[in-house]
Amino acid sequence: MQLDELYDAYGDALYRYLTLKLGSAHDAEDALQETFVRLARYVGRRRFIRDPKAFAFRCAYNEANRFWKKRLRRRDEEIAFRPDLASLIFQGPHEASEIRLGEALAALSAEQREVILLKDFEGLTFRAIGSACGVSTHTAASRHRYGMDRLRAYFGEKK
Amino acid sequence: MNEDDRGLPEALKDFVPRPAPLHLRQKILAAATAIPPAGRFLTAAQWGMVAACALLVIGSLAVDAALSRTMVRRLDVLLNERPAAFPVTDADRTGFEEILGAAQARALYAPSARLRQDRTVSMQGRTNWDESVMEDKENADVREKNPR
Repeated sequence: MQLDELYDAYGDALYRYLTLKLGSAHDAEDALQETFVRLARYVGRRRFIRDPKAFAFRCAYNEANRFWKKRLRRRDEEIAFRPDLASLIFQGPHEASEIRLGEALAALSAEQREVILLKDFEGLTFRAIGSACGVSTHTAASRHRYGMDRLRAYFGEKK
Repeated sequence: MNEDDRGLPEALKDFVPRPAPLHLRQKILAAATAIPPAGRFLTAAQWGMVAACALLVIGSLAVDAALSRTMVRRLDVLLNERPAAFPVTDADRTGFEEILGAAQARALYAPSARLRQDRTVSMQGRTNWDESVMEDKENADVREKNPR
């Protein structure tokens, strides 16, 4: 798979993921570029990569961490997620619903947001999420479960 | 592990992922294709430029060698085969004499004329060296007789 095919396959998903991780569309663009520069080095070795999608997300995950470490020196800090960022990542029936989704996601932890995005919107398996985020499959699944419980509770309360 | 779980809440079912801005594709691909793949020293474009430069150098060396060979062949013809191929005419001889005469005249009036005069071959086939040596000997004899 060439680089342009790689972008067509995963570019949008990686952009959404990086926007969610970094909390800024501008930073996500920079990090996405760095991610593809890194992926370009592995284009010739892709036959050795078992799951290209998980590998691409792993590169993005590493790049996001590198980005935070380099620029903000706050790698281990909880990254504040602004509700208005949801409209950059998701398209809802109307703007109010996008803001509401943003508020619901802001109520979750960064790890739970990450897993829910990757599982329910990008279609990764728990195994792929585990290898992308550097956690076990069970940890990915439990983060997803807790996150979904909180989302349900949030929407249940609002309803 | 249950991959299906219970799915998204109803409120989230209407949401679809938004695509990345269109301008990003060109920008990112331009940046990423400029990077050599892992384990390679240069990108494909850079290798192409190196190959073109190498071809240019090899081509110029080949042209230079061919020209040198032609020059050597022509010189060889001039030095060895000229009498047979192109016999020296009277006009050639006259021209040669004119050139030689001009060179000799220039040598005579040059600042170091004496030195050049000694080494110049005259048109008659003898050297002026004998005359100058004789003059020097005469002057030496005069100095011996009149030391002051």
